[in-house]
Amino acid sequence: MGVAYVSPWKVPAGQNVQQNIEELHNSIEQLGAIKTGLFTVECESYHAVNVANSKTLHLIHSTEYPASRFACFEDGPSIVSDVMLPSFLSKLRSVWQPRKGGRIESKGHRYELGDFVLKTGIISMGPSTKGISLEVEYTPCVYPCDCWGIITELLKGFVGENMVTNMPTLILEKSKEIYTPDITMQQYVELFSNIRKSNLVR
Amino acid sequence: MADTINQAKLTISCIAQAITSTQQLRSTVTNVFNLLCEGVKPDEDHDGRGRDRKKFLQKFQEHLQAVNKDYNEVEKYCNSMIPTPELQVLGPLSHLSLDSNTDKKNTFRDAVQTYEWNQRMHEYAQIASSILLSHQLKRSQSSGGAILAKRRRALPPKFQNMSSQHVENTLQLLARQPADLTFKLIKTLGDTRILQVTVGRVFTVILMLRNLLMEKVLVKGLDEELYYENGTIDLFSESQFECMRRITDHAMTAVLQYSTTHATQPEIPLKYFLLWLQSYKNLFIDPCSICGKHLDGGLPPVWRDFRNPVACHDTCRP
Repeated sequence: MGVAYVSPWKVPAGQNVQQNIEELHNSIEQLGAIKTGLFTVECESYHAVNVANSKTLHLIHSTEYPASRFACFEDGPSIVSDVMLPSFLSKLRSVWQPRKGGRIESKGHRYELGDFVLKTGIISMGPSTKGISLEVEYTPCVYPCDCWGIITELLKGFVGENMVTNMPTLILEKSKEIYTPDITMQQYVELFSNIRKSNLVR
Repeated sequence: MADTINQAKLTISCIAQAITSTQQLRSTVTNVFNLLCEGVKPDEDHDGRGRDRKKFLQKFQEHLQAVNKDYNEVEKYCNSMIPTPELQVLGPLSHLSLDSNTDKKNTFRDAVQTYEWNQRMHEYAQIASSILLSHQLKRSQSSGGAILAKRRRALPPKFQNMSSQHVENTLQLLARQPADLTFKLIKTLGDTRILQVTVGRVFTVILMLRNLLMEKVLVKGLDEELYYENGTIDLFSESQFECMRRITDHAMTAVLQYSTTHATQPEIPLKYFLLWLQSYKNLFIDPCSICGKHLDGGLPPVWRDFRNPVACHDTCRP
Protein backbone atom coordinates (compact mmCIF):
# COMPACT_ATOMS: atom_id res chain seq x y z
CA MET A 1 0.00 0.00 0.00
CA GLY A 2 1.48 3.32 -1.09
CA VAL A 3 0.42 6.74 -2.32
CA ALA A 4 -2.37 6.83 -4.95
CA TYR A 5 -3.51 9.66 -7.18
CA VAL A 6 -6.92 9.44 -8.85
CA SER A 7 -7.75 11.71 -11.74
CA PRO A 8 -10.32 11.89 -14.50
CA TRP A 9 -9.07 11.26 -18.00
CA LYS A 10 -10.33 13.90 -20.40
CA VAL A 11 -11.95 12.36 -23.43
CA PRO A 12 -11.28 14.64 -26.41
CA ALA A 13 -14.33 15.89 -28.19
CA GLY A 14 -15.36 13.71 -31.07
CA GLN A 15 -13.91 10.51 -29.70
CA ASN A 16 -15.85 7.87 -27.88
CA VAL A 17 -14.88 6.45 -24.51
CA GLN A 18 -14.04 2.97 -25.78
CA GLN A 19 -11.61 4.27 -28.40
CA ASN A 20 -9.96 6.57 -25.94
CA ILE A 21 -9.43 3.95 -23.31
CA GLU A 22 -7.84 1.65 -25.91
CA GLU A 23 -5.36 4.42 -26.74
CA LEU A 24 -4.65 4.89 -23.06
CA HIS A 25 -4.00 1.16 -22.64
CA ASN A 26 -1.60 1.21 -25.57
CA SER A 27 0.42 4.10 -24.15
CA ILE A 28 0.62 2.39 -20.76
CA GLU A 29 1.74 -0.86 -22.34
CA GLN A 30 4.37 0.98 -24.35
CA LEU A 31 5.95 2.11 -21.07
CA GLY A 32 6.45 -1.55 -20.22
CA ALA A 33 3.52 -2.12 -17.86
CA ILE A 34 2.07 -5.63 -17.47
CA LYS A 35 -1.68 -6.31 -17.25
CA THR A 36 -2.39 -8.02 -13.93
CA GLY A 37 -6.17 -8.23 -13.86
CA LEU A 38 -9.37 -6.26 -13.44
CA PHE A 39 -10.56 -3.86 -10.78
CA THR A 40 -13.86 -2.31 -9.74
CA VAL A 41 -14.67 0.64 -7.50
CA GLU A 42 -18.37 0.90 -6.70
CA CYS A 43 -20.03 3.80 -4.93
CA GLU A 44 -23.51 3.68 -3.42
CA SER A 45 -25.00 6.85 -1.99
CA TYR A 46 -27.33 7.18 0.98
CA HIS A 47 -29.24 10.15 2.34
CA ALA A 48 -30.89 10.75 5.69
CA VAL A 49 -34.65 10.31 5.70
CA ASN A 50 -36.87 13.25 6.64
CA VAL A 51 -33.93 15.64 7.02
CA ALA A 52 -33.73 18.55 4.63
CA ASN A 53 -30.39 19.18 2.90
CA SER A 54 -28.82 16.23 4.59
CA LYS A 55 -25.28 15.27 3.77
CA THR A 56 -24.88 12.32 1.43
CA LEU A 57 -23.18 9.26 2.77
CA HIS A 58 -21.15 7.36 0.19
CA LEU A 59 -20.43 3.70 0.64
CA ILE A 60 -17.44 2.51 -1.41
CA HIS A 61 -16.30 -0.97 -2.23
CA SER A 62 -12.99 -1.57 -4.03
CA THR A 63 -11.70 -4.92 -5.27
CA GLU A 64 -8.23 -3.79 -4.15
CA TYR A 65 -9.42 -4.06 -0.52
CA PRO A 66 -12.00 -6.83 -0.72
CA ALA A 67 -12.53 -7.28 3.02
CA SER A 68 -13.19 -3.58 3.67
CA ARG A 69 -15.97 -1.12 3.05
CA PHE A 70 -15.36 2.62 3.16
CA ALA A 71 -18.05 5.05 4.26
CA CYS A 72 -17.45 8.77 3.83
CA PHE A 73 -19.20 12.08 3.58
CA GLU A 74 -18.23 14.44 0.81
CA ASP A 75 -16.68 17.01 3.11
CA GLY A 76 -14.30 14.73 4.94
CA PRO A 77 -15.20 12.38 7.79
CA SER A 78 -14.86 8.75 6.84
CA ILE A 79 -14.68 5.33 8.41
CA VAL A 80 -13.26 2.01 7.29
CA SER A 81 -15.26 -1.06 8.24
CA ASP A 82 -15.70 -4.68 7.21
CA VAL A 83 -18.09 -6.28 4.70
CA MET A 84 -21.07 -6.17 7.07
CA LEU A 85 -21.57 -2.40 6.73
CA PRO A 86 -24.05 -2.47 3.80
CA SER A 87 -26.30 -5.00 5.56
CA PHE A 88 -26.02 -2.90 8.71
CA LEU A 89 -27.12 0.19 6.79
CA SER A 90 -30.02 -1.71 5.25
CA LYS A 91 -31.24 -2.42 8.77
CA LEU A 92 -31.15 1.33 9.43
CA ARG A 93 -33.60 1.91 6.58
CA SER A 94 -35.61 4.25 8.70
CA VAL A 95 -32.64 6.59 9.11
CA TRP A 96 -30.53 6.10 5.95
CA GLN A 97 -31.99 5.25 2.58
CA PRO A 98 -30.17 4.55 -0.66
CA ARG A 99 -30.51 7.33 -3.15
CA LYS A 100 -32.25 6.45 -6.35
CA GLY A 101 -29.89 6.43 -9.30
CA GLY A 102 -27.05 7.04 -6.92
CA ARG A 103 -25.00 3.98 -7.86
CA ILE A 104 -21.87 4.78 -9.83
CA GLU A 105 -18.88 2.61 -10.56
CA SER A 106 -15.49 2.55 -12.26
CA LYS A 107 -14.49 -0.73 -13.85
CA GLY A 108 -11.41 -1.58 -15.85
CA HIS A 109 -7.92 -2.99 -16.09
CA ARG A 110 -5.07 -3.08 -13.62
CA TYR A 111 -1.44 -2.71 -14.70
CA GLU A 112 1.87 -3.07 -12.87
CA LEU A 113 5.06 -1.25 -13.86
CA GLY A 114 7.88 -1.99 -11.41
CA ASP A 115 6.63 -0.60 -8.11
CA PHE A 116 3.76 1.34 -9.76
CA VAL A 117 0.15 0.15 -9.98
CA LEU A 118 -1.95 1.78 -12.72
CA LYS A 119 -5.70 1.41 -13.00
CA THR A 120 -7.77 2.65 -15.92
CA GLY A 121 -11.52 2.40 -15.49
CA ILE A 122 -14.68 3.31 -17.38
CA ILE A 123 -17.04 5.27 -15.13
CA SER A 124 -20.67 4.32 -15.58
CA MET A 125 -23.97 5.14 -13.96
CA GLY A 126 -26.30 2.28 -14.68
CA PRO A 127 -26.09 1.49 -18.39
CA SER A 128 -24.62 4.83 -19.47
CA THR A 129 -20.90 5.57 -19.67
CA LYS A 130 -19.82 8.86 -18.14
CA GLY A 131 -16.05 9.01 -18.45
CA ILE A 132 -12.65 7.48 -17.72
CA SER A 133 -10.79 7.36 -14.41
CA LEU A 134 -7.06 6.90 -14.01
CA GLU A 135 -5.39 5.86 -10.75
CA VAL A 136 -1.61 5.84 -10.29
CA GLU A 137 -0.24 4.29 -7.11
CA TYR A 138 3.42 4.30 -6.07
CA THR A 139 3.66 1.47 -3.55
CA PRO A 140 7.04 1.80 -1.73
CA CYS A 141 6.46 5.32 -0.42
CA VAL A 142 3.92 6.15 2.32
CA TYR A 143 4.32 9.95 2.50
CA PRO A 144 2.60 11.82 -0.36
CA CYS A 145 4.82 14.91 -0.18
CA ASP A 146 7.92 12.79 -0.84
CA CYS A 147 6.84 10.91 -3.94
CA TRP A 148 4.70 13.51 -5.72
CA GLY A 149 7.56 14.26 -8.13
CA ILE A 150 7.85 10.59 -9.05
CA ILE A 151 4.11 10.21 -9.70
CA THR A 152 3.91 13.31 -11.89
CA GLU A 153 6.98 12.24 -13.86
CA LEU A 154 5.34 8.90 -14.65
CA LEU A 155 2.10 10.59 -15.68
CA LYS A 156 3.99 12.95 -17.98
CA GLY A 157 5.45 9.85 -19.60
CA PHE A 158 2.13 8.87 -21.17
CA VAL A 159 -0.11 11.90 -20.73
CA GLY A 160 2.32 14.48 -21.99
CA GLU A 161 3.71 17.71 -20.67
CA ASN A 162 0.22 19.23 -20.27
CA MET A 163 -0.27 17.15 -17.17
CA VAL A 164 -1.55 19.03 -14.15
CA THR A 165 1.17 18.91 -11.51
CA ASN A 166 -0.57 20.44 -8.52
CA MET A 167 -1.30 18.11 -5.69
CA PRO A 168 -5.06 17.73 -5.16
CA THR A 169 -6.44 19.29 -1.98
CA LEU A 170 -7.37 15.96 -0.47
CA ILE A 171 -3.80 14.72 -0.61
CA LEU A 172 -2.30 18.14 0.17
CA GLU A 173 -4.08 18.32 3.50
CA LYS A 174 -2.46 15.11 4.67
CA SER A 175 0.70 15.18 2.59
CA LYS A 176 3.03 14.96 5.57
CA GLU A 177 1.16 12.11 7.22
CA ILE A 178 1.17 8.44 6.36
CA TYR A 179 -1.11 7.80 3.39
CA THR A 180 -4.12 5.56 4.00
CA PRO A 181 -6.51 3.83 1.53
CA ASP A 182 -9.49 5.91 2.63
CA ILE A 183 -7.85 8.98 1.06
CA THR A 184 -7.93 7.09 -2.27
CA MET A 185 -11.66 6.38 -1.76
CA GLN A 186 -12.30 10.03 -0.95
CA GLN A 187 -10.63 10.95 -4.22
CA TYR A 188 -12.99 8.57 -6.02
CA VAL A 189 -15.98 10.12 -4.18
CA GLU A 190 -14.90 13.57 -5.32
CA LEU A 191 -14.47 12.33 -8.89
CA PHE A 192 -17.90 10.65 -8.92
CA SER A 193 -19.56 13.74 -7.39
CA ASN A 194 -18.07 15.97 -10.08
CA ILE A 195 -19.40 13.59 -12.74
CA ARG A 196 -22.88 13.65 -11.17
CA LYS A 197 -22.82 17.43 -11.05
CA SER A 198 -21.74 17.71 -14.68
CA ASN A 199 -24.49 15.21 -15.54
CA LEU A 200 -27.10 17.35 -13.80
CA VAL A 201 -25.90 20.50 -15.57
CA ARG A 202 -26.42 18.80 -18.91
CA MET B 1 45.88 -60.93 -3.76
CA ALA B 2 46.26 -64.72 -3.26
CA ASP B 3 47.69 -64.06 0.18
CA THR B 4 44.70 -62.04 1.23
CA ILE B 5 42.32 -64.74 -0.07
CA ASN B 6 44.20 -67.46 1.86
CA GLN B 7 44.27 -65.27 4.92
CA ALA B 8 40.56 -64.68 4.61
CA LYS B 9 39.92 -68.45 4.24
CA LEU B 10 42.01 -69.18 7.33
CA THR B 11 40.19 -66.51 9.29
CA ILE B 12 36.79 -67.88 8.23
CA SER B 13 37.72 -71.43 9.29
CA CYS B 14 39.08 -70.11 12.58
CA ILE B 15 35.85 -68.26 13.21
CA ALA B 16 33.77 -71.38 12.43
CA GLN B 17 35.83 -73.48 14.81
CA ALA B 18 35.68 -70.76 17.47
CA ILE B 19 31.87 -70.68 17.15
CA THR B 20 31.55 -74.46 17.62
CA SER B 21 33.91 -74.45 20.60
CA THR B 22 31.96 -71.53 22.10
CA GLN B 23 28.77 -73.56 21.75
CA GLN B 24 30.50 -76.48 23.47
CA LEU B 25 31.65 -74.19 26.26
CA ARG B 26 28.12 -72.91 26.65
CA SER B 27 26.74 -76.41 27.03
CA THR B 28 29.35 -77.39 29.66
CA VAL B 29 28.62 -74.20 31.63
CA THR B 30 24.89 -75.01 31.43
CA ASN B 31 25.68 -78.47 32.84
CA VAL B 32 27.47 -76.87 35.78
CA PHE B 33 24.48 -74.69 36.56
CA ASN B 34 22.07 -77.62 36.16
CA LEU B 35 24.15 -79.62 38.62
CA LEU B 36 24.11 -76.73 41.08
CA CYS B 37 20.33 -76.37 40.73
CA GLU B 38 19.29 -80.02 40.83
CA GLY B 39 22.02 -81.43 42.96
CA VAL B 40 22.97 -85.16 43.02
CA LYS B 41 20.46 -88.01 43.40
CA PRO B 42 21.02 -89.68 46.75
CA ASP B 43 22.21 -93.30 46.71
CA GLU B 44 19.81 -96.07 47.80
CA ASP B 45 21.84 -96.97 50.79
CA HIS B 46 21.72 -93.97 53.04
CA ASP B 47 25.22 -94.26 54.42
CA GLY B 48 25.38 -90.73 55.50
CA ARG B 49 25.69 -87.34 53.93
CA GLY B 50 29.45 -87.59 53.59
CA ARG B 51 29.26 -89.90 50.55
CA ASP B 52 26.66 -87.64 48.85
CA ARG B 53 28.84 -84.61 49.45
CA LYS B 54 31.86 -86.37 48.00
CA LYS B 55 29.89 -87.47 44.96
CA PHE B 56 28.57 -83.94 44.49
CA LEU B 57 32.02 -82.38 44.76
CA GLN B 58 33.44 -84.97 42.34
CA LYS B 59 30.82 -84.23 39.72
CA PHE B 60 31.24 -80.48 40.25
CA GLN B 61 35.00 -80.81 39.73
CA GLU B 62 34.52 -82.83 36.54
CA HIS B 63 32.15 -80.24 35.08
CA LEU B 64 34.48 -77.35 35.96
CA GLN B 65 37.40 -79.16 34.35
CA ALA B 66 35.33 -79.61 31.18
CA VAL B 67 34.50 -75.87 31.24
CA ASN B 68 38.17 -75.01 31.66
CA LYS B 69 39.14 -77.23 28.72
CA ASP B 70 36.49 -75.74 26.42
CA TYR B 71 37.42 -72.21 27.46
CA ASN B 72 41.09 -72.85 26.62
CA GLU B 73 40.05 -74.11 23.17
CA VAL B 74 38.01 -70.97 22.50
CA GLU B 75 40.90 -68.78 23.63
CA LYS B 76 43.26 -70.71 21.35
CA TYR B 77 41.03 -70.11 18.29
CA CYS B 78 40.57 -66.42 19.17
CA ASN B 79 44.31 -65.85 19.48
CA SER B 80 45.00 -67.68 16.22
CA MET B 81 42.78 -65.22 14.29
CA ILE B 82 44.71 -62.43 12.53
CA PRO B 83 43.05 -59.01 12.83
CA THR B 84 42.73 -57.07 9.56
CA PRO B 85 44.78 -53.91 10.05
CA GLU B 86 43.18 -51.61 7.46
CA LEU B 87 39.75 -51.76 9.03
CA GLN B 88 41.02 -50.23 12.26
CA VAL B 89 41.91 -46.96 10.53
CA LEU B 90 38.31 -46.32 9.51
CA GLY B 91 37.41 -46.00 13.16
CA PRO B 92 33.72 -46.23 14.05
CA LEU B 93 32.89 -46.69 10.35
CA SER B 94 34.46 -50.16 10.48
CA HIS B 95 31.56 -51.32 12.64
CA LEU B 96 29.41 -51.01 9.53
CA SER B 97 31.02 -54.25 8.38
CA LEU B 98 29.06 -56.00 11.11
CA ASP B 99 25.80 -54.94 9.46
CA SER B 100 23.88 -58.01 8.34
CA ASN B 101 21.84 -56.16 5.72
CA THR B 102 24.62 -56.25 3.14
CA ASP B 103 22.19 -56.73 0.28
CA LYS B 104 20.40 -53.46 0.80
CA LYS B 105 23.25 -50.92 0.76
CA ASN B 106 26.95 -51.09 0.02
CA THR B 107 27.81 -48.35 2.49
CA PHE B 108 30.75 -50.16 4.05
CA ARG B 109 32.24 -51.22 0.75
CA ASP B 110 31.87 -47.69 -0.61
CA ALA B 111 33.46 -46.27 2.54
CA VAL B 112 36.48 -48.59 2.22
CA GLN B 113 36.90 -47.73 -1.45
CA THR B 114 36.61 -44.02 -0.73
CA TYR B 115 39.21 -44.30 2.00
CA GLU B 116 41.65 -46.18 -0.26
CA TRP B 117 41.11 -43.61 -3.03
CA ASN B 118 41.74 -40.80 -0.58
CA GLN B 119 44.98 -42.43 0.61
CA ARG B 120 46.21 -42.85 -2.95
CA MET B 121 45.35 -39.21 -3.72
CA HIS B 122 47.39 -38.05 -0.72
CA GLU B 123 50.36 -40.11 -1.86
CA TYR B 124 50.20 -38.76 -5.41
CA ALA B 125 49.80 -35.18 -4.12
CA GLN B 126 52.87 -35.57 -1.93
CA ILE B 127 54.93 -36.96 -4.81
CA ALA B 128 53.69 -34.22 -7.15
CA SER B 129 54.46 -31.43 -4.69
CA SER B 130 57.99 -32.73 -4.11
CA ILE B 131 58.62 -32.84 -7.88
CA LEU B 132 57.15 -29.38 -8.47
CA LEU B 133 59.12 -27.78 -5.66
CA SER B 134 62.33 -29.12 -7.06
CA HIS B 135 61.70 -27.34 -10.42
CA GLN B 136 60.83 -23.67 -9.84
CA LEU B 137 59.15 -22.22 -12.94
CA LYS B 138 59.37 -18.48 -13.61
CA ARG B 139 56.65 -17.39 -15.99
CA SER B 140 57.26 -13.62 -16.15
CA GLN B 141 60.41 -11.65 -16.82
CA SER B 142 59.60 -8.82 -14.39
CA SER B 143 61.18 -8.68 -11.00
CA GLY B 144 57.72 -9.32 -9.61
CA GLY B 145 57.64 -6.13 -7.58
CA ALA B 146 53.93 -5.65 -7.97
CA ILE B 147 53.22 -9.24 -7.07
CA LEU B 148 55.48 -9.07 -4.04
CA ALA B 149 53.86 -5.85 -2.95
CA LYS B 150 50.44 -7.49 -3.28
CA ARG B 151 51.64 -10.38 -1.16
CA ARG B 152 53.13 -8.06 1.39
CA ARG B 153 49.94 -6.00 1.73
CA ALA B 154 48.39 -7.21 4.92
CA LEU B 155 44.81 -8.35 5.08
CA PRO B 156 42.45 -6.03 6.94
CA PRO B 157 42.80 -6.56 10.65
CA LYS B 158 40.24 -8.86 12.22
CA PHE B 159 38.94 -7.46 15.44
CA GLN B 160 37.96 -10.26 17.71
CA ASN B 161 37.69 -10.73 21.43
CA MET B 162 35.61 -7.65 21.96
CA SER B 163 33.77 -7.44 25.21
CA SER B 164 30.00 -7.22 25.09
CA GLN B 165 30.08 -4.01 27.09
CA HIS B 166 32.40 -2.36 24.58
CA VAL B 167 30.06 -3.34 21.73
CA GLU B 168 27.02 -1.98 23.59
CA ASN B 169 28.77 1.32 24.31
CA THR B 170 29.89 1.69 20.69
CA LEU B 171 26.38 1.01 19.40
CA GLN B 172 24.88 3.55 21.78
CA LEU B 173 27.41 6.16 20.65
CA LEU B 174 26.66 5.45 17.00
CA ALA B 175 22.92 5.62 17.65
CA ARG B 176 23.28 9.14 18.95
CA GLN B 177 25.20 10.57 16.04
CA PRO B 178 23.23 10.62 12.77
CA ALA B 179 20.02 12.56 13.02
CA ASP B 180 18.06 10.82 10.25
CA LEU B 181 18.53 7.28 11.52
CA THR B 182 16.56 5.70 14.35
CA PHE B 183 17.92 2.57 16.00
CA LYS B 184 16.13 -0.25 17.74
CA LEU B 185 17.85 -3.33 19.15
CA ILE B 186 15.53 -6.23 18.41
CA LYS B 187 17.46 -9.24 19.63
CA THR B 188 20.72 -10.07 21.39
CA LEU B 189 22.08 -13.61 21.51
CA GLY B 190 25.66 -13.74 22.77
CA ASP B 191 27.78 -11.89 20.22
CA THR B 192 25.00 -11.61 17.64
CA ARG B 193 22.76 -8.57 17.58
CA ILE B 194 19.86 -7.72 15.30
CA LEU B 195 19.27 -4.02 14.80
CA GLN B 196 16.35 -2.31 13.14
CA VAL B 197 17.47 0.98 11.59
CA THR B 198 14.85 3.31 10.09
CA VAL B 199 16.24 5.73 7.52
CA GLY B 200 14.22 8.95 7.48
CA ARG B 201 10.79 8.38 5.89
CA VAL B 202 12.12 6.00 3.29
CA PHE B 203 12.82 2.46 4.45
CA THR B 204 13.71 0.16 7.34
CA VAL B 205 16.93 -1.83 7.47
CA ILE B 206 17.38 -5.08 9.41
CA LEU B 207 21.08 -5.32 10.26
CA MET B 208 22.65 -8.44 11.74
CA LEU B 209 25.88 -7.83 13.65
CA ARG B 210 28.40 -10.19 15.16
CA ASN B 211 30.29 -8.03 17.68
CA LEU B 212 30.76 -5.02 15.40
CA LEU B 213 31.05 -6.99 12.14
CA MET B 214 28.13 -6.60 9.75
CA GLU B 215 26.89 -9.95 8.54
CA LYS B 216 23.55 -9.42 6.85
CA VAL B 217 21.51 -6.49 5.65
CA LEU B 218 17.86 -6.53 4.58
CA VAL B 219 16.08 -3.41 3.35
CA LYS B 220 12.28 -3.26 3.48
CA GLY B 221 9.58 -0.65 2.99
CA LEU B 222 8.14 1.25 5.95
CA ASP B 223 4.76 -0.51 5.77
CA GLU B 224 6.10 -4.05 5.28
CA GLU B 225 5.87 -6.82 7.85
CA LEU B 226 9.17 -7.49 9.63
CA TYR B 227 7.99 -10.27 11.93
CA TYR B 228 6.47 -13.70 11.49
CA GLU B 229 3.08 -14.46 13.01
CA ASN B 230 4.71 -15.98 16.08
CA GLY B 231 6.62 -12.77 16.80
CA THR B 232 10.11 -13.77 15.61
CA ILE B 233 11.96 -11.44 13.28
CA ASP B 234 11.87 -12.41 9.61
CA LEU B 235 15.45 -12.28 8.34
CA PHE B 236 14.98 -13.97 4.99
CA SER B 237 11.88 -12.77 3.10
CA GLU B 238 12.81 -10.25 0.43
CA SER B 239 10.97 -6.98 0.13
CA GLN B 240 7.93 -6.92 -2.16
CA PHE B 241 9.18 -3.66 -3.73
CA GLU B 242 11.72 -3.81 -6.52
CA CYS B 243 13.54 -0.64 -5.47
CA MET B 244 14.05 -2.03 -1.95
CA ARG B 245 15.42 -5.30 -3.36
CA ARG B 246 17.93 -3.33 -5.44
CA ILE B 247 18.93 -1.28 -2.41
CA THR B 248 19.42 -4.52 -0.41
CA ASP B 249 21.90 -5.73 -3.07
CA HIS B 250 23.73 -2.41 -3.00
CA ALA B 251 23.77 -2.48 0.81
CA MET B 252 25.41 -5.93 0.86
CA THR B 253 28.02 -4.63 -1.59
CA ALA B 254 28.59 -1.65 0.70
CA VAL B 255 29.03 -3.97 3.70
CA LEU B 256 31.73 -5.91 1.81
CA GLN B 257 33.36 -2.70 0.59
CA TYR B 258 33.57 -1.07 4.01
CA SER B 259 34.51 -4.29 5.84
CA THR B 260 37.58 -4.84 3.68
CA THR B 261 38.99 -1.33 4.10
CA HIS B 262 41.82 -0.87 6.54
CA ALA B 263 40.40 0.36 9.81
CA THR B 264 42.27 1.30 12.90
CA GLN B 265 39.20 0.85 15.03
CA PRO B 266 36.58 -1.87 14.81
CA GLU B 267 33.57 0.45 14.60
CA ILE B 268 34.76 2.34 11.51
CA PRO B 269 33.22 0.01 8.85
CA LEU B 270 29.86 0.19 10.65
CA LYS B 271 30.12 3.98 10.94
CA TYR B 272 30.85 4.39 7.21
CA PHE B 273 27.99 2.04 6.37
CA LEU B 274 25.54 4.05 8.47
CA LEU B 275 26.69 7.28 6.82
CA TRP B 276 26.16 5.66 3.43
CA LEU B 277 22.66 4.55 4.48
CA GLN B 278 21.88 8.07 5.57
CA SER B 279 22.44 9.26 1.99
CA TYR B 280 19.18 7.49 1.07
CA LYS B 281 17.00 9.76 3.20
CA ASN B 282 15.75 11.65 0.11
CA LEU B 283 15.40 8.59 -2.10
CA PHE B 284 11.98 9.61 -3.47
CA ILE B 285 12.62 13.38 -3.49
CA ASP B 286 16.00 13.80 -5.19
CA PRO B 287 16.28 13.22 -8.93
CA CYS B 288 19.30 11.49 -10.44
CA SER B 289 22.38 13.72 -10.39
CA ILE B 290 23.43 12.52 -13.87
CA CYS B 291 20.24 12.52 -15.97
CA GLY B 292 18.09 14.81 -13.81
CA LYS B 293 15.04 12.52 -13.83
CA HIS B 294 13.33 10.76 -10.98
CA LEU B 295 12.53 7.52 -12.75
CA ASP B 296 14.53 5.09 -14.83
CA GLY B 297 12.61 1.97 -15.78
CA GLY B 298 10.12 2.65 -13.00
CA LEU B 299 12.87 2.89 -10.34
CA PRO B 300 14.08 5.95 -8.40
CA PRO B 301 17.84 6.66 -8.13
CA VAL B 302 18.83 3.65 -5.99
CA TRP B 303 22.64 3.77 -6.41
CA ARG B 304 24.90 5.65 -4.01
CA ASP B 305 28.62 5.66 -4.61
CA PHE B 306 30.67 4.36 -1.68
CA ARG B 307 33.12 7.28 -1.60
CA ASN B 308 30.81 10.11 -2.56
CA PRO B 309 27.18 9.11 -1.99
CA VAL B 310 25.13 11.07 -4.51
CA ALA B 311 21.74 10.00 -5.87
CA CYS B 312 22.18 8.11 -9.13
CA HIS B 313 20.24 5.61 -11.22
CA ASP B 314 21.70 2.12 -11.60
CA THR B 315 22.07 2.64 -15.33
CA CYS B 316 23.47 6.18 -15.01
CA ARG B 317 26.32 5.43 -12.60
CA PRO B 318 29.83 6.12 -13.93
